[in-house]
Amino acid sequence: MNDLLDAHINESIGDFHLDVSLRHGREIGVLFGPSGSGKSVTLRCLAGLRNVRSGRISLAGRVLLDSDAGICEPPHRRKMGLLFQDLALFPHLTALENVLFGCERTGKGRAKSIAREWLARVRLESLEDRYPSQLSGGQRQRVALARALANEPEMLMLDEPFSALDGPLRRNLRRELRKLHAETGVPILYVTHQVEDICALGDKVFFIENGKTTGSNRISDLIRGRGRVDLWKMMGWGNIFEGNVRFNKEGVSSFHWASGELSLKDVSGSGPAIAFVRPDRVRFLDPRMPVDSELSRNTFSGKIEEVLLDGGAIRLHVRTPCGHWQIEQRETGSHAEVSRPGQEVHFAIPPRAVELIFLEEMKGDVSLGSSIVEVRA
Amino acid sequence: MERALIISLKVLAIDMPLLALLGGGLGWLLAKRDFRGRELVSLLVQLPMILPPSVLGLYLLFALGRIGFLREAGFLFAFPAAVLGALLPSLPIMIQASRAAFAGVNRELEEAALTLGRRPWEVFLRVTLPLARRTLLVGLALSSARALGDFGVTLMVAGNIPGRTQTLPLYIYGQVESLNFARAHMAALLLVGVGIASLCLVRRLESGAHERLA
Repeated sequence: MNDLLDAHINESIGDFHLDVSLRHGREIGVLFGPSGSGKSVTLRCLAGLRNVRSGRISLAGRVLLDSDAGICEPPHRRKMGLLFQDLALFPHLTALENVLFGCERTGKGRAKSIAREWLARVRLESLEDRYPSQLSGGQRQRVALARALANEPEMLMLDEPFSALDGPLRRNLRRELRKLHAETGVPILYVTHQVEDICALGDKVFFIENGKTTGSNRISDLIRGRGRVDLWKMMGWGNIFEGNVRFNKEGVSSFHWASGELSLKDVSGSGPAIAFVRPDRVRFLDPRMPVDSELSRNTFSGKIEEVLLDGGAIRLHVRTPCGHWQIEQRETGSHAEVSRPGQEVHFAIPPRAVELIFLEEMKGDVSLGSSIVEVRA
Repeated sequence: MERALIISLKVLAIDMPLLALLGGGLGWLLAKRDFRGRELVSLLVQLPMILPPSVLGLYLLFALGRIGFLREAGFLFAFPAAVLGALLPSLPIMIQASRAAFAGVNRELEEAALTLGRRPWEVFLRVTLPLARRTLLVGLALSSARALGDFGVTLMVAGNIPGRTQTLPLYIYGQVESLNFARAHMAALLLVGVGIASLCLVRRLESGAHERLA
C-alpha cells in the first residue's frame, strides 16, 4: 500500500522530546501509547496547530512541512481533519450549521444539501436545528464526525474522542467510524491509550512511548501473536485469551480456552475467537457473600503476584489455575488494605464484559471491524 | 440643556466606536497574544481606572498643551478634548471586558475552525467574535455609560464652555452653581434613566449568555 502520509517530527517541549516517524496508507491507523506519551502533541504538529522546529510532513504528495526548505503550510491549508477530545463543536451554531461550517468552502452552492446528506449519514437528520448543548454525548460525536468529513479532508485524525463515553456507545461509534471509513476512503489516524480500541478499530497500530514512535504492526498479526513480542508487552494491559466460542444444548454460549471457560451473554457467532476483558471490568468477590447468579459461573480464585499503585487505581496481577489475570480497581481504601502479594483473592467476570473477536473473519487481513461482536449491555 | 445633551451625544457617538475598536483590540491582544511586557501593558492600561480624574486630567492637560502637534491641533479646551477626556477613563473598562470575553473563547474552537480550512480572519469573524459578543456588548454598555458620565477629566482638559465643551454632567454642575436646581434635576434624571437602561441591558445580556452557552 502506498504511503499517503509520511511524517518525521522532531520537537522539544521543555524536557519532553518528541521524535515521531509515521508512514501511513489509506487504512485506519491507531496511534497507541500511555497517557503523556506525546500522542496529542503529535496530532497537533501534524495538523499545523503547533510549530515544529525540525521535521518533514508530506500528505498525498503535498509537502506540508519541510523545516530544511523553510516550508510550513498553515493549518487551514493542510486539509487534515482533526476531531478533538472535547469535539470542539461551535456552541453558537446548530448541528446543521456546524456541519455546514465544514463544507461551505468545498461544497460551494450545494453546501446546504451536502451538510444535510452528512447529517443523514450519521442518522441525525431530525436533529439538525438543535444546538450542541441540546444533544447527547453520542449525537455530539456524530455531528463532529460529520463536520470533519464534510470538509473533505485528505486525512482524518481523532484524538480519543470516544474516551468519555460508556461501553455500548463506544462500540457503536467505533463501528460507525469503520463504516464511514469504508464509504469515504478517507484515511484515519486514531489516538488512544485503550487496548480495546486497537482491536476494534485499527488495521495498523503505531506505538509511541515517551515521545518516541517505537514501531508499528498490523493488528491482525498482533492478535495472532505474530507481532513483535516487545511491542505486545508494551501494551501489557488487558486479559486476552485465544480459544473457541461454543453453544450448549440450551443455546447458552460460552468461551473455552486451554485452561478455562467463561460464560457469555447475547453472542450470536461461534468458532475460534479472541476474548478480551478489560482489567477494570473484573469484579472482586467477598467469599462470605452470595454471588449474583449471572456471575457464579465466571468466578475464579488465585494468588496475588504483584500489586501496582497507579494514580487512583490499584493494578493486581493474579495467578490462577486458569491463567494469569490483570485486575484494576479504584483505590477506595478497603481494597488497598487487603491487596498484598501472596494473598488469595476471588473475582468474577461479568459475561457482558467479555469482548470477542472471531478469528474466522480475520483471515487474509480482512478488516477487523465487521468481526467485532457486540456484547450488548 | 438641549445643547449639553447634544454635545454629550456627539461625544458618545465618537467614543463608542473608539471604545469598541481600541478597547476591543487591546483586550484581544492581551487575551490572545503572548508578547514581552504583556503584564506591564495590562497594568498601564488599567491605570486610568484607578487614578483620580484630576490626576488623569492633569497629565492629559500637559500632554495636549505641551506636545507639539497636539498643541497645534488645538484640541485643548475644545470639543476633541471633551471626546478624549471621556474616552480615557472609560477605556480600561472596555479593555478589561474584552480581554475576559476573548480569553473566554475556547482556543480549541478556533483551532477546529482552522483545521476545517478557514482563514484566521474568518475564524475571528465566525467563531471568536460571535462567542465573545455578549461579554463585549456588556463591556461596551458599561464603558459607554462611564464615558457619558465623565466629569473630572473633561473639566480639566475641555473646560466648561456652554455650547462647545459643556456635556450633561458639567451642565448639572453649572446649574447647581447658579442655584437652578430644577434644571439640574432634569438633567440628572435623564442620566439616571440612561444608567438604569444600560444596567438592564447588561443584565439581560449576561443572563442570556448563561442560558445558551452553558
